[in-house]
Amino acid sequence: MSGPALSVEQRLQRLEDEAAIRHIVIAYAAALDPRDPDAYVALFAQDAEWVNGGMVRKGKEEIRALVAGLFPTRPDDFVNLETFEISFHPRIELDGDRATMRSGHLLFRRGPGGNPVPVLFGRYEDEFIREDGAWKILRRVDLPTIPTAEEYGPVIRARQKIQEQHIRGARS
Amino acid sequence: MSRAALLLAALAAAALPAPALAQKPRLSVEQRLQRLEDESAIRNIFIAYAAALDQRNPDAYVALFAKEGQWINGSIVRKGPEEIRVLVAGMFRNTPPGFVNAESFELTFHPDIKVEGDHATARSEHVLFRRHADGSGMPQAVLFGRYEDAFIREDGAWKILKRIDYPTMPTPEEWGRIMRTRQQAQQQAPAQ
Repeated sequence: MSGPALSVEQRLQRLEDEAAIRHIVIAYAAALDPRDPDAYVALFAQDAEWVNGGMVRKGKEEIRALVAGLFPTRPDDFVNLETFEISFHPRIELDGDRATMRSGHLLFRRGPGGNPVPVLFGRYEDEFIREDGAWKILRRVDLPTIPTAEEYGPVIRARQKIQEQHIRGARS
Repeated sequence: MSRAALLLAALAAAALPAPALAQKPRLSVEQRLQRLEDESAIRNIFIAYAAALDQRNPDAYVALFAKEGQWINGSIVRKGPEEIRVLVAGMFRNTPPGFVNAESFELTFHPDIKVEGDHATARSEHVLFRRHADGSGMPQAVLFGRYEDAFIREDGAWKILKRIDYPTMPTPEEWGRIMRTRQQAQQQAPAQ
C-alpha cells in the first residue's frame, strides 16, 4: 500500500535530506581518517550520544574527550598511514526533522609489509536531528560484530583507559 | 538610530530562524534537482571507472576522461586521452575477448563531491583487492589509496579533468617496489 502522494517539493526535500545524511557518513570517515577532533565533534548535535557497549558519552565535550584520547597527538601535516574505515549500506529512514540509519563499517589497519588488513566489522545504529537547518548525529550506537564486543574487549579496554583520563580532564 | 529603532531591529533579527541569517541564496527546484543529478552523474563515473578497470577495457576507461584529462600518480603524469590510453594499454595487455577478471577488483567509497556549475571536485578512497598470495583464492586487500579528482561538464556529460591517485597503504615507495616486481614478472611471461 503506498502512502499519500508527495509534492515535487517534498520529494526533492526527501532526496536532499538523504543526500545530506549520506554525506555525514562520508564526513565521519573523513574526520576519523586524518584524526581531526574538531571535524568529528562538529558532526554531532548539541545533546548527542555516542555509545559502544557500556561506554556512553553524552554531549559534545564528552565526545571531544573521547576522540582526543583516540587522536592523542597529530602534526598539522598528518597523513594516516595506519588505519582507515569503510562505511557502507546506509539504510536511511526520514521522519520530518528526525531520521534513523543503519549501516555497516569495516576497519582496516596497516599489516606487515604495508598491506591493508581488515580487523573489525561492525554496525552503526544512528539517530539524526535537523538542528539549526543542518543534519547532525543525535545518537550513534557502534556495535562491533566481527570480532564480537567480547573478543574486541581487550583492545577497547586498553583504549578506554586512555580515554577516561581525557574525560576526567574535560570534566574537571 | 534611536533606542526604539535599535530594539525593533534586534527583535526583527531575533525573530528570524538562526539558519536564515547565514543562509545561502535559495535555489530553485530546477537548480536543486540539477545539483542532485550532477552528483549522481559523478558518482556514476566512479562506478564506470571501477567497471573499466575490472574488465580491463581501455576504451571504456579512456572515455571517462575529458579531452584535456590528466592522470597523476606521484611523478607519473599522463595528459590527454592518447597518453592515458597508452598507460592503460600497458596495464591491460593480453586481455582476451570475453575476459572475466578473476584476479583483482577495486572498491571505491566515500565520494565527497562538490559541484560548482560545470566544474566539480571529489575526494574519495579506494581499496584494491587481488587473489590472495597464499594460493587460497580468497580476496586480499593489497592497496588503500585516495583519489583527488576534478571534473568538467564537456558536451553535456561529466568527465574526469584530473585524477590524482595517492597510494597510502602501502606507501608510494613500498607500492613502487611491488609494481616493479610485478612488471618484471609480466615482461618475462609469454604473451597469450
